Amino acid sequence: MGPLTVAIKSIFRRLGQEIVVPPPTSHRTISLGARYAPELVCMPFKVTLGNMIEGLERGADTVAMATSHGNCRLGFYWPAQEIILKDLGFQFEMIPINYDRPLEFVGEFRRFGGGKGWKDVLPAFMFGIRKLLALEELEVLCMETRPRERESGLTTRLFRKWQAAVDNAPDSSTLKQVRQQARKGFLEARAESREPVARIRIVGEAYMMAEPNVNFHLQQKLGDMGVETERSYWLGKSVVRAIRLDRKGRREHEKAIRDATPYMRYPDLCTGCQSIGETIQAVRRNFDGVILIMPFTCMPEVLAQSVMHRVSEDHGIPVLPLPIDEHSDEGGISTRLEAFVDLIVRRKQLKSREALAGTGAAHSARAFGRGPTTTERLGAG
Amino acid sequence: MARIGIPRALLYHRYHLLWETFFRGLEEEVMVSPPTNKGILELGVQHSLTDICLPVKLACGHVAAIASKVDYLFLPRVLSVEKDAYTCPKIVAFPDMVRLNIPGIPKILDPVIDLRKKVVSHERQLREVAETLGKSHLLKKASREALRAQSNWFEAEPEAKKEASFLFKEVGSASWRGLRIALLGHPYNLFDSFINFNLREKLASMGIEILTLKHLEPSSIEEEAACLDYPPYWTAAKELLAGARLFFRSDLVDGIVYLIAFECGPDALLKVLIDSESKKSPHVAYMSLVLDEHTGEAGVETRVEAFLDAIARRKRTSRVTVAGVR
Repeated sequence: MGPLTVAIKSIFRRLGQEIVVPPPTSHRTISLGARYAPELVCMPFKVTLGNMIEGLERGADTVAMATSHGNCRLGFYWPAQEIILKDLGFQFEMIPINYDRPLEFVGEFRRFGGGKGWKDVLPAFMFGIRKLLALEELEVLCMETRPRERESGLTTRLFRKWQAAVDNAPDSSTLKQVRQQARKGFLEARAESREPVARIRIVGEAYMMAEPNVNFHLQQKLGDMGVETERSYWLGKSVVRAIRLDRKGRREHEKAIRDATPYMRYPDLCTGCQSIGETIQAVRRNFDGVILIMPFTCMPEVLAQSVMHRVSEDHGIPVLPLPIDEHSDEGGISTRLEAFVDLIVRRKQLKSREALAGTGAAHSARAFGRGPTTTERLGAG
Repeated sequence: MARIGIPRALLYHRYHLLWETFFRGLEEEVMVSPPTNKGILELGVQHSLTDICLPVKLACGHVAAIASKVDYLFLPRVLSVEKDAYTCPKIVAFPDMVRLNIPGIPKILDPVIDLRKKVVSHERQLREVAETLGKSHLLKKASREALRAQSNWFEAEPEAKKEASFLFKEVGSASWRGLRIALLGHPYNLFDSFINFNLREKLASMGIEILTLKHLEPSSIEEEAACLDYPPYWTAAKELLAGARLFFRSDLVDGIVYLIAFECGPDALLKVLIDSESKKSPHVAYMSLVLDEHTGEAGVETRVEAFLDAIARRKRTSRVTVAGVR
């Protein structure tokens, strides 16, 4: 993951350790991962396995892998990956990092710190988090700016420029300046006359949402179609939430889970239900549609998907489930996205026409207006 | 007297004695859906999500098959049956899936069974159910009887068809006779004869001895599970891995067949671990079979036949070498 790499690089640089950055996720990464991973495992397993192989090829001797509690498969990635990689003949040490336990998580960095104590590790960690937050802010700016950009490609150029600036920022005050300048730069890239055709919220599985090389640059694609997007998951936010610094985020997260109760009686027992709550929040926040992105065979999200058509029907919001695996192709995904955007734009027009014409149009709109049924059909395809 | 419907799917295959005895103890009528057949599979596929695993699809079919005939459906939300371990998230959410996807569903009894943090007595777990049915006075006796019945699960013979034979009757050879094969897999894959194409019955008809986790001493599985290098946090997966290791290390069996349902989350990762165990014990042949609603019976049979032939051949040749040395 791009932003994470920058953040971790910064932490280790401060601790004076060498770090092997695996090449960005590419076609080769995915096919390497898919070749050695079990067939039926989910996409993030395959991609991270591919990343590990490419990192080990470049001479890494330690692999750190995220793990978690709960009954998603993520917590069991590292044993399976360790077995597969050792079987391939790589020599290395595997370190599982549990990000549900914040102190343990920070403490793990001490092991790499070369004898440095909490006094050095904690500031290095916090600075890394700051970089992560800065990069994610850049992404938010991109998502807002892209559908309004003055000339095509401007947003991408700006993003590259400021991403490098964040990566190179040596201390917090420079970082702060960079963030301010970036905000201004992005604001200037907007054209007054252009308004987004629709607003879509992306919910679902975190990894698929955050890794553009795996989700076929979903945010960028939608942006280029003139759609303003918003993502429900941000790594930086979730880390800050886990170390109990983000009260508001925590409340919002808990509320999303509560909102899902009519559809999942015990939502806190199944992790995927957050997506249901976030879809309902999207209705309240006036989004025109929701994309549920997930890896094929994802255990928690498939539960959300199985009741999503009812959520969509009850709350009147089109939802596009988007399961992705290594066999998904860019053309297919693009076609589905285009169809979905067409659908919600048309639905929006009908709605506004209905509002203009008042009660007279309500009768005829009934024939078209049932967006969700169309979505269901789309979702099934 | 109310009629309680229980789908013959998922954890029913593990806890059928417990559940049936419990409701009989409450003096209710129990109606279990018929053994899986083509109609039930079709109902299941119709009423469930395309991307969900086969056992859940079948379970939806079983529910749809009996929904109109019962007063209550018993679909317990079994989150965890032991400390710090889970079953599968799909089992927990199954009642919701049923409620929102299948029309004409009667009242659902869905007690939450969660032993992650502390042990809750069986009586407490099911108090809510007894209260809903207005049978609280019978609860104590019923759950005691149910627990006693469940303790016999390991001895109880799983239901099986009288007879089933291979599609091509002339296949198979005398050399298969007497082979011992362990079948590994979730109870709902092993003991549902439809999903595995009567594999147990077919093998038995060829004179092959079949072993499952039921044939291992429960305490030895627990012991083995305690010393796993990477203990999975799904109870069923942990038991399977421990059982697989016992089979691989012992001389109990000549071969192991691991049945996986397509889309099963834990099995996908468990396969890596069991594969690596099999490499440590080359004297036991090993094969995994993935089953889904499109799997063809002939395809499964061909693979099983080849597997059996390979084992029989290996046994024969190893005997020859031993004789040659002498």
